[in-house]
Amino acid sequence: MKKFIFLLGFLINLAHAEKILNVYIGSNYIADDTITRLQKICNCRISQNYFNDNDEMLAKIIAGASGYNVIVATSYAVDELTKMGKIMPLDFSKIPNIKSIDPKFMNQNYDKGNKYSVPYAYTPVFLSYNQDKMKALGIVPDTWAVVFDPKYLVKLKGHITMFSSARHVFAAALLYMGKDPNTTNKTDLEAARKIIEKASPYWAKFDSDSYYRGLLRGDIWLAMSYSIDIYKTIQDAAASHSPIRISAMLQKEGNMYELDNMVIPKSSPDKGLSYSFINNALDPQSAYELSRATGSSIPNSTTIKRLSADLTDIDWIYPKDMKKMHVLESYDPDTRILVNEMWTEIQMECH
Amino acid sequence: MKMSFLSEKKVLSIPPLVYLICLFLIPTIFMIVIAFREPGSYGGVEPIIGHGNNHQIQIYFSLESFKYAFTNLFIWQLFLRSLIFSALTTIICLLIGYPLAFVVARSPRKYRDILLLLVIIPFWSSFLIRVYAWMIILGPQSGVSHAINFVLGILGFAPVDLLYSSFAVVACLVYINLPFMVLPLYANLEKHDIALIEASRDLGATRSEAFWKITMPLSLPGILAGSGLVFIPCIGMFVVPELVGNNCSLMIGNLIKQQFLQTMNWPLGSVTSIIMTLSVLCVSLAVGFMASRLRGLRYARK
Amino acid sequence: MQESSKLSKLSLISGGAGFLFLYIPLIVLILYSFNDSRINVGWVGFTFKWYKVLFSDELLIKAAIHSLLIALTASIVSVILGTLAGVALHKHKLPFLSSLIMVPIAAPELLVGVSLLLFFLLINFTLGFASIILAHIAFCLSFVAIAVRTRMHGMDDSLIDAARDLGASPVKAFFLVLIPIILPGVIAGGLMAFTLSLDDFVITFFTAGVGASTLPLAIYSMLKMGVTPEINAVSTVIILITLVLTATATKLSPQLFK
Repeated sequence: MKKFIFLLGFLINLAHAEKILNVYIGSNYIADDTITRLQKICNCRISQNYFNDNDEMLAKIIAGASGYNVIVATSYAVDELTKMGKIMPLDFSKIPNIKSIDPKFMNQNYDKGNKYSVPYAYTPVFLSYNQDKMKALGIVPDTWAVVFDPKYLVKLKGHITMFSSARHVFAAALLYMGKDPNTTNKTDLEAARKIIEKASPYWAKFDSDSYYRGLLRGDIWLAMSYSIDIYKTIQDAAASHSPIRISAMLQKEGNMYELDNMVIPKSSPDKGLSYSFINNALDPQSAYELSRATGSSIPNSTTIKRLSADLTDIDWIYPKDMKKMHVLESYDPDTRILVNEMWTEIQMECH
Repeated sequence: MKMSFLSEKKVLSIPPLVYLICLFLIPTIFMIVIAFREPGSYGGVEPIIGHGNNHQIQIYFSLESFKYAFTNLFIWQLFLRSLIFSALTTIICLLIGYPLAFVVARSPRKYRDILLLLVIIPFWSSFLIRVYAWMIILGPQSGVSHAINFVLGILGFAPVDLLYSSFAVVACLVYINLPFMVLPLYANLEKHDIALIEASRDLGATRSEAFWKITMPLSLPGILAGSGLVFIPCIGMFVVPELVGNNCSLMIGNLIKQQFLQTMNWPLGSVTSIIMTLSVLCVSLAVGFMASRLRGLRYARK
Repeated sequence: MQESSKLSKLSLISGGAGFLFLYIPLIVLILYSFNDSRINVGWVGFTFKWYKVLFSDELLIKAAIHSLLIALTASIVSVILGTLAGVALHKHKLPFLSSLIMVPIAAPELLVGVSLLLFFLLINFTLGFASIILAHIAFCLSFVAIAVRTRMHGMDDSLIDAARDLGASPVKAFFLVLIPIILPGVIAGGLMAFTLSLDDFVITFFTAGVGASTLPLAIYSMLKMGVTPEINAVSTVIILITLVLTATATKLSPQLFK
């Protein structure tokens, strides 16, 4: 008898299986309050699948990963996904909240006219550091030179981390050289590679996922960082009464930023749910919750006014001079292969 | 009634055969073909058969990745390092594993099963756990680290980081592969006829002579088998260098993994895999050859 | 006839050292799972809290359940295919199958994983649980086949012939005579396949789709993301479980560990 009831209950459960919305997104990129609110609106359960690196996400999508309702794709990933034929053009009549996005973030090179994507949030990339160590060494990390120039590197050997991402490290090197971080000029790229190779023996490791733990432990003093990671790390350090004080700043040569967009994969099992999610995520209330909770930068100037000054004053979250912030654009196939080969060698070479 | 078409031989062997062909042979063939292709624009690979200008079917074929693999020094460095690490691991496993196998094989019958079980148990837990155990032991905060750096400090050397080094990689490789050395050795040693040893002792041989002149030579097939079982998988390791190594202790497996999962350069990944397979094949053929020559030493087994 | 000679002090000491080498890392690991300290520097205090964290870690538990389901499916299918192969190899001359069977065992796992990844991608087979299970069956099959074939070495072949002479059809003889005799070998092979599938990392790593997580994969990302004593707790649990499984397998087929 008991077995029968159990089976019945199981079958009933199966029949009323709740709707699941699968989002492929970076970690800590939606506020918990927003999730709760959105789940009520769509009467579904939101399941977040995390990736930490744009290229990793692209590799997985090439590999046929499917079943996502929405993917949050960064900058040039939108371009690549379009060329691979993985995402569908958006029907903006279903996303009225797009009007709350600032025009200056629309119409980017990777999606002219925003046919396939809508901007969701952005994340500046810069150097974060251990305040006391930098003070003791007399170094102000307001320039990329601190991670490329040997005169700084000798003092910092073994205590620097950079992203394990070819695009970001090359972009930083190119900015340091005073060049366009999106250049496809072979001479410039070769020169950037030489600079990276000379500097990398001094770096502790290439890490995009867990570098902030090194900062918290105290063995990493300078790290290429994402704004949302550092925002959270500073909160964590304060909460655990850590003696380590972490801070960050933009670099004077310029910085990169990741402009994250929502796209709908052609393989989305429920496109209506996808549109509903995107529209609600772009809602000014969601944007407010996002920025306040995670330190993400929202492309929505009206909502920014609602945020408190100690958030909006932070230069590395809301940069004052957007002209010095660069979005990474996609490479043509030849440059892509060239940079990948150079990156393979940089990562695998022993010094 | 005999059904001559569906002979028993076919019924039994065809299902597993088909399965293995589909999931082993064919993937391998695919990989070999990919090695001769050009890397694709968005990762992956260009279509194999395309249409030329005159709507003729052309098969695109390229040796680009082979050229890249053979002309880049860092790839050969990785290969060499993989061979050296594997050889080191095999030797150390032999030095540690032989006494272990010997003690278990020569212990009184009633203890033998339990001792053997004790050797096997660590083996059957996931290897990641065993690597993690060493991450703790070699970590900068551990007792071992402090002890070693203390000694180094007294001797006037700078403190070293035990973790994230080649030392850590080899230590982990040894620890993971030890059972692969111990089990074949034990299987061999267990079959030795003790009467031989006793006889030699009666004839005046010392313990040491009895060991080196009788036991050792008889255990050579076991040594070979264990060495093969350690060396061959070791070459393809990538997880250990990734977790506990640094840039100077990466192995060829790390390159292959990177090509397939990050840079998506499948042809290069395939070429490197093929070269690795060929070297592994050479080693196993050599081991097999030596083993067959030793078969003549099969006298005096129980 | 004496079956063992006295062990010299030297061999006892070096053998004992070997055992210590095997076990000290694991003992340290297990001890620290009870340590009330996040960074495992020194012994702070005894606690079960990491086990509490472990058992409320939804992702990890889901991964464990996935591992179990995958291992179950893979071992059942590989037992069927492997038994067929083992019997076939014992009774007939099949050089091709014989060498093909050895490949999954001898080949480096990296190779197997990578070629399977390539294969699945090229035939546009979506990576996910199915791809993992298919991959696992491939290598488990070989182990079961060898276990069965070994078991059949010690079997009296004439029993089957006797059954046939008494009028049994080939199928009946197979199921009613052969299977019961080789059953310990089949079960031992199945248990081995189960454990191999549970513990497999490399091949699963390459053939898993997003969302298809297994316990080894979850542990790997925990190791890469940042180490907490929760990993010690999960390791201890895994060691205990494999202890039980291994002991059971040994009881069933002692000669398997040849």
